[in-house]
Amino acid sequence: MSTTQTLISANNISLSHHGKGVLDKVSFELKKGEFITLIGPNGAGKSSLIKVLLGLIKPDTGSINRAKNIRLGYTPQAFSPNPFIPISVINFLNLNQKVNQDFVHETSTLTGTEGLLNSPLKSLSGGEMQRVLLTRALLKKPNVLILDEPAQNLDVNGQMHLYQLIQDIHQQQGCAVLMVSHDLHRVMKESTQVLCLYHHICCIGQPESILKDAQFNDLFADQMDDLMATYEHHHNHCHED
Amino acid sequence: MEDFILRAILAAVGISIIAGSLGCFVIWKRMSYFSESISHSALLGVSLGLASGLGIHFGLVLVGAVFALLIVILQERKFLSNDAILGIFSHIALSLGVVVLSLVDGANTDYFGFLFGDILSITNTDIIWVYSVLIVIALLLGFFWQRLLLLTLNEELAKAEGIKHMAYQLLFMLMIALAVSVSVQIVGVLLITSLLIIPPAIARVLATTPGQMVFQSIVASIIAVVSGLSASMYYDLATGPTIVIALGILFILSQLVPRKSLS
Repeated sequence: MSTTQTLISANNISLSHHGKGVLDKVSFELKKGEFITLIGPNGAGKSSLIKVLLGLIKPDTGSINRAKNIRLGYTPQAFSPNPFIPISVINFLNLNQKVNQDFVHETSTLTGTEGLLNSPLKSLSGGEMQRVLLTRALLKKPNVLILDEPAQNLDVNGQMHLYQLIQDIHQQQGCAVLMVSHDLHRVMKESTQVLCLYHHICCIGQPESILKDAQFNDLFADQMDDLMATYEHHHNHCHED
Repeated sequence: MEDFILRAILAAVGISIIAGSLGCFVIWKRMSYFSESISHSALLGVSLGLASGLGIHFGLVLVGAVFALLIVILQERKFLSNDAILGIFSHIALSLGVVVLSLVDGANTDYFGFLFGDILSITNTDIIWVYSVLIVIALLLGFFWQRLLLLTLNEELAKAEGIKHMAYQLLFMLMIALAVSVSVQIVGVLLITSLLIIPPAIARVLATTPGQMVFQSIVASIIAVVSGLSASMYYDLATGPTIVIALGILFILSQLVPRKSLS
């Protein structure tokens, strides 16, 4: 028997744009404590699905149900702030939300952005910006985090650190996470559920079962070899040096 | 001091505060050509205000708001680029203004005052109008400051956090129409945009927070507008252009300030 609360669910969502189908009868739910990774090729409708979940786009059919106690934290894809506004990171974190300043410092320590608080927002690197966005999202004390390609434009090291941070937040704060990602290797390691989207849901399930799914293998044929190579690599070698 | 000089200075200070603060949003949002188009509609507003007997301020706000709305509707259709829409509106508005004004006011209308500003035309009623608009804009900006700023900083994030984009865009445009309506008599239809964009451009050099930028923009505007106004009276020069030259000198000086961090 499952008593785990559903925080947000999509029910039979369809959406088309200029006559082209973007989402086709998409249904899934995000439960308390889950970490769902949304994967799919470019143009598969991942960002559209996120926007529908956030209520920014009205779907043609279907509905979104949110739990009454939901507190959403969201970080957009490829965030670039207006460069003409002189604003520091700390002012950005406080903009349009009332938060306790001790909590701001506590949270930025967690995300490793405490040294950036007085920097101009536009001077941040891609990785720093993602951490600042994550900090802003965390200041809402969310129980659901929706992250749209947080590791885009980061180098390998930056990606690893960011994924680790997201994983820590997921575990320590008991926060359900829905993350859009391209990085299959990471996805397989961290997620409790993987949702593979190509306009419709191709497959959904635990990482191990997804790997065996035929549709999934078709969609990611080019990346699968790499992924498998990495796995074998892990089994055969030791990285202590 | 002559009464008309005092009135001119009072009006100039009020307008500096209005345009200096709103202007920050104009340059952050890259909407200088939008405000240019709205100010070009001002002549039509003046004419209709005179023709209807409702007064020029009423005509100015009404025409400014209608034009702003039309521009937004056309922009939302995404059929023409924004700069084409603004260019089309800007010149239609100006031409309509000139033609309607000559129909209303006879063939001998003195356009010069409307196009380039005429401080002698400022009455006590105008002063009351300027300061009423000042209070309204200060209240609106104060109340919606955080939301407007987040929306300007990043629209997507603001929308995701529940800010209604369209409502604030319309509110902002209405404020621009109000600012234009109070600036016509001092600087004239053709030069209003400079009041909106030069002071914030000066303030951008030193400001490190949005609030600072608004404050410095207002101060820069008051300095330039009052000195330009004085020079125009002393040397008997056209008011608007003299003010804009004063703003220009301050802008050039500001660009010589060494910047702490060029990022």
